[in-house]
Amino acid sequence: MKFYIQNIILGLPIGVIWALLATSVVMIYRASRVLNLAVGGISMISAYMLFQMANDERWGIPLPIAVVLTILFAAAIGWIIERILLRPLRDRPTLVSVIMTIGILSLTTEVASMVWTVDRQPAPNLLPTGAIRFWGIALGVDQILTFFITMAIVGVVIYLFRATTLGVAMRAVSDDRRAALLMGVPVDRVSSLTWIIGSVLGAIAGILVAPQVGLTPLGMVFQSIPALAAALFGGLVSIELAFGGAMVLGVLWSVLPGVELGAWRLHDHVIGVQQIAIFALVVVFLVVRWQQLFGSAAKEEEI
Amino acid sequence: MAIAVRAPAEKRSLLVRVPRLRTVGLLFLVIWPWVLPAQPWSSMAVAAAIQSLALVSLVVLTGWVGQISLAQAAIMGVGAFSAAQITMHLGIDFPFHVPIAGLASAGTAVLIGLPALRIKGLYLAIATLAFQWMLEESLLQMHWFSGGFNGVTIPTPKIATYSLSNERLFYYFAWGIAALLMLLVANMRDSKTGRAWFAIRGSEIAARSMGINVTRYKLLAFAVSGFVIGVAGSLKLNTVGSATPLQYLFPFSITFLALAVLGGIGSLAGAVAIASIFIFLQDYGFPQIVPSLAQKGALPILAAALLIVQLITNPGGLAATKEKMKEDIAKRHLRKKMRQARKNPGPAASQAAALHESATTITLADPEAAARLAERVAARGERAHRLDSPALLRAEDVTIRFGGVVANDKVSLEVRRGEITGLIGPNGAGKTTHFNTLNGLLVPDEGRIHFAGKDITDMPTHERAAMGMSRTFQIMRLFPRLTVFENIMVGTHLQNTAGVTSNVFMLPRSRNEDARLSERCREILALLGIDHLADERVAGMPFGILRLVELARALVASPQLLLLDEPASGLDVSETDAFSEHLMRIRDEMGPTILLIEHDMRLVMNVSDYVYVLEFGKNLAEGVPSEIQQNPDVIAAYLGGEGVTVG
Amino acid sequence: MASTARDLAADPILRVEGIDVYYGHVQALRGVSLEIYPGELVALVGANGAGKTTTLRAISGLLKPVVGHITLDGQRIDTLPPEKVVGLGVSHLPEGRGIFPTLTVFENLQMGFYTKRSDRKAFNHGVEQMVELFPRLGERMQQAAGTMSGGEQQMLALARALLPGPRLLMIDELSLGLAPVIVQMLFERLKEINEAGTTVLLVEQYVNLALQVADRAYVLEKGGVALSGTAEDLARDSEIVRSSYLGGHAPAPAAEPASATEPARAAEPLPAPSVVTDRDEPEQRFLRAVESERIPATKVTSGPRKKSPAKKTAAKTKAAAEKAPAKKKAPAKKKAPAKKTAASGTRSAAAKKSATTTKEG
Repeated sequence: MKFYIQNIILGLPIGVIWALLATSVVMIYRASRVLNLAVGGISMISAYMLFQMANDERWGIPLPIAVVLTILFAAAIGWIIERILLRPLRDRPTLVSVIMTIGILSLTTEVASMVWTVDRQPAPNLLPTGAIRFWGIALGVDQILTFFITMAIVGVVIYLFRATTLGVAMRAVSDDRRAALLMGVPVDRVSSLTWIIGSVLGAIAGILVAPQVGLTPLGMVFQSIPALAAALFGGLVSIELAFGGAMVLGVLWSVLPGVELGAWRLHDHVIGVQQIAIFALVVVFLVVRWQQLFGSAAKEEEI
Repeated sequence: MAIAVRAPAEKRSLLVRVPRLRTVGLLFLVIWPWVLPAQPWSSMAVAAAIQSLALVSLVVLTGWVGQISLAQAAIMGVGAFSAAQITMHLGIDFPFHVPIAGLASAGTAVLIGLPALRIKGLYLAIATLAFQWMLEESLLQMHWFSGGFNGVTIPTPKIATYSLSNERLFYYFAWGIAALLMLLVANMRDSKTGRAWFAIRGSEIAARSMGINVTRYKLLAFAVSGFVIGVAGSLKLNTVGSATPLQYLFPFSITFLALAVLGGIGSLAGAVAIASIFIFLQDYGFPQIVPSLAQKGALPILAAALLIVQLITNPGGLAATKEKMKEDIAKRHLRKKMRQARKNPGPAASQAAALHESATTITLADPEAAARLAERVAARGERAHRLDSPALLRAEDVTIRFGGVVANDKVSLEVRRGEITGLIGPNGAGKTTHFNTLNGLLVPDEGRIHFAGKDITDMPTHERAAMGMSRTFQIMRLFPRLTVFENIMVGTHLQNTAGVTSNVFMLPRSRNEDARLSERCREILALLGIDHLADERVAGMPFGILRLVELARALVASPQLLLLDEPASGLDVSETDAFSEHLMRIRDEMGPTILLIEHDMRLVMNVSDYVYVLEFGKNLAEGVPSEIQQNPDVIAAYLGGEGVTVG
Repeated sequence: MASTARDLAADPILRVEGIDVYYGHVQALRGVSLEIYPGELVALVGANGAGKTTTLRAISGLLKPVVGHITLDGQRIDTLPPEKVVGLGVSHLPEGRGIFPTLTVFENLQMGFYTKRSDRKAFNHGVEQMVELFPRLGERMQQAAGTMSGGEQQMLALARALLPGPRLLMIDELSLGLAPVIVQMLFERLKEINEAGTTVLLVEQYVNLALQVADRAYVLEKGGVALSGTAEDLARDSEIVRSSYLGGHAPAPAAEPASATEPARAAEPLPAPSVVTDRDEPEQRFLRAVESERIPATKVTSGPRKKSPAKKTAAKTKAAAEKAPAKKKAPAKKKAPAKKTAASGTRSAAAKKSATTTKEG
């Protein structure tokens, strides 16, 4: 029992980062019907930018300013992606947009690998390090703070969606783009804004988690896969469900390696058990959701 | 993304068709390794073979069948490590472990192929992404399989006494295997298998309606794709002599996809070309020219950037460039002629004008059609009542509910052999839903459907097609980059008795079937008067022609029953008349029974022998056209105002 | 084709001149022209696929005509994007209603007022008015629009389209999928709205329904205008309209091909109604009466809001016939009967309250 409680607590800070990334994915999907597979890349490259600005004495940028600049950088990337890379693809099949996000993912990953190498870089710590010990576990202060900061941010996003005119407009655009056009809603600008906010969310996730898991190109990108799974759990449209799903996945991640089946500890015998579990969940979500979302056989997604 | 698949006639390039060029080419390919230094040239050539195979696996899976895969690198790794394990534990080495490696990868690919049966498009991208991630963190990390972080090493392979660490020697094996696989894959493409794949990519529903077993063909595609890249993996193992998990990570999956798209996702030649260019730049070009950037990283960046640019500007990749150039040249040529003609008017001018006309406007509107149609309608005469012939298709009390809505409420109809039956009704009456049920895309909640004496209520679509039910769709699913002829050949699926093996090896059975069915296709095209367009690409043709092409595709299967879904939608008056005329002619000469949904009353009333009217999901009326036109219930249904008096 | 009755001095609010519209390379509209004068209720009818929806989309800017132009009060709008057209006062209620299912009723109305969103006061006032017009909406302010019935959704769509006080209200298929009782209510409201001064362009599949409320109508066929005229004329020439929908003449000698698409102007001799239905709908009776007696059909108007729903058609016909001479001068619009009942206390209070509470819809 204690084992499970411990791991639930340990799993939450893990899951919360995925929740932030999932929120970004859901936001963007709702407003533009594009699945942003590049979210991991945006997140990663922002973390590297911060690292670069903070670590390079020649530039002499104090950390707080560097953070702000990084956020602006992410916003700019988001705007560029929507405006220049994705908008021309609007009339084409969705698969083309997906491949575009894959291309962006690749570009960011390879650029990062080239500029900063694949070796692990020391990410700047924004939050105090040090750990709190209780109940037999050690939880980093930064992890706890990350948890609350992220909850706050997601809360703000949910509030944005529900209570502001802009948020209502965003939801309207995601419900029915054409009807929103007929209301005079500047649908293009709403899309742009969504991408900007989504990218900023990704950047925040990146700079928060980099010190905890280590700054490597692929490491960051792989944070996005459980995030995508969580987003799928929310049907790609519900931020709340995605959040919940991310937390569950985080706990799962923490619990699985230590699970004992009889005399076996899973971790000792099955390498990558967490990844297998998440993969299985992704498949299940997709297959089950597919039936739900896309009902009768006569309906078909354009490929 | 466009499929840059070429017409059969053009598929073999110039090099292959002209015998003398062929011999010279082959000679060159055999001799050159001995002319240039082995390093780097022969080893680059080997690497190019491997890369080509990797890209070919995506050409098949994504280009031809439309299934996106981000897991190719890991699947390749499975092949490599399988080969290594077999060598180390069973002593089977090169070249015999190559096909086994292929099978291992094929099996892995089918593993992800199974969920792919239910998951489509971008969601499949997520699933394969997760699959790659899972494989590289689990299977490829397992010590017993991959040797863990350090990987595995195998002893140098030998054939007889020749050590295959000799790159020159290995070159022949590598390219021999690669060329063989590509040839077999190309054979599949040019046969019934390939056509079924394209159909699935175009529209799974249409494919099913043409009798294609989508499940089988999708899994086959995954298996073939896996096999090809598994072979590539084993080749790579033998080149390097070892394999580590680091070689099969996620970025490679993306690079494969990016390169395949850059080469023209549907083109084998494009894949080989782009793979060779990539390897050349990676192993020679960049290191020589920009040594500082040559640290691996610069080239994938270039590939990703080019991919992004290409997606926006939308060429069909490298493979389509040649075509585009030809088109541009032809267009410029025409314009020049027009300009000249305008300057000096004369017989040449009108010729050029006519040429321009025919190149840009293919019209269906046939002034005679209306008159011929009128004759036919007159000849048919006015049926006073329905002929007493057996029902070919019978729907009994079909009821379909979607959530709370009853789309069809005890709908019944009968289609008599040899008749043209119309199904009409205002918007939302449930006509298309009923059609989808007849076709097998929907299963009714209540009621039965009988076809040719059998109860087919629960029969899947492709089996109904096998029984002789053919269908067209309101939203047409033709393949824009294929020719009219190729589009129609897809419809011959059920009549083609060649099996997969026969197709892979281009055995006589496969070739004969194709020849026989080609004949049939040409006949149908001639019947519909569009055989002169057979080798034109479908893209950009007038709607009226496209409707005929779709009709032809449904006809080549010699169906007993032809279901037409709003065939006149999008046609203007003259095109509708021409189409009506074709329908009646087909019925007279080929004899299929026809059931059609239409909103265009002109068409329905002209061609139908009998008409059913639906309203609000229920049968409203039935009768011969003239009765229906004067039926007050029908009038009320269309003109409305039922029970509503505004005041 | 201008009705002789209209005041010719007024300029049309909307003028569509010879537009061709394509979907890809399929031509959907061929040289469509129409005009709408201030205060009119013009119907655009025709069979499925005739191009009615396409016409509305061209006007609101979702589609661009390749040939021809569209002007609103003299200003060209066919080159403008939808946001601008909407901003100029054109409200388009699309087929399928276009409501936002995950948004509440209130939020939907907010979206309707998007172009004037800074004017909070006007918004609240507008919401009050809409709640009066459709009390049912007032009860469901916080309900997710997607959970409402079809009729309620249609009410919401109508209210939302009306909210910004548009110069031109375009409605696509008001009656689609709704029970006759609801359709009746909606059409009555529509009449009221029109009489209060809103110019309406109504696309309707059901001709007879549209003719009950419209001043004039255009009949589309295969992308072109086949017939146009006043509601009176078209109701009288019902055979022509019928053949435009269903094709064919009255039983004719077999040699004659169906050529029902010729835009026929002259009224042909009407066939005797061949079958008398069992259900002798007031609708049918009325039409047949019109046919056989050739009484100029006048549109039935709603005077001050009636309490009783059922109206005797025959009585109306008589009353209408009496009013006929006066009617001919019609469409210089009637003054709106003062509809604002004194502060409908609870309702507007409720509306105000929901405007200020934070939602967790």
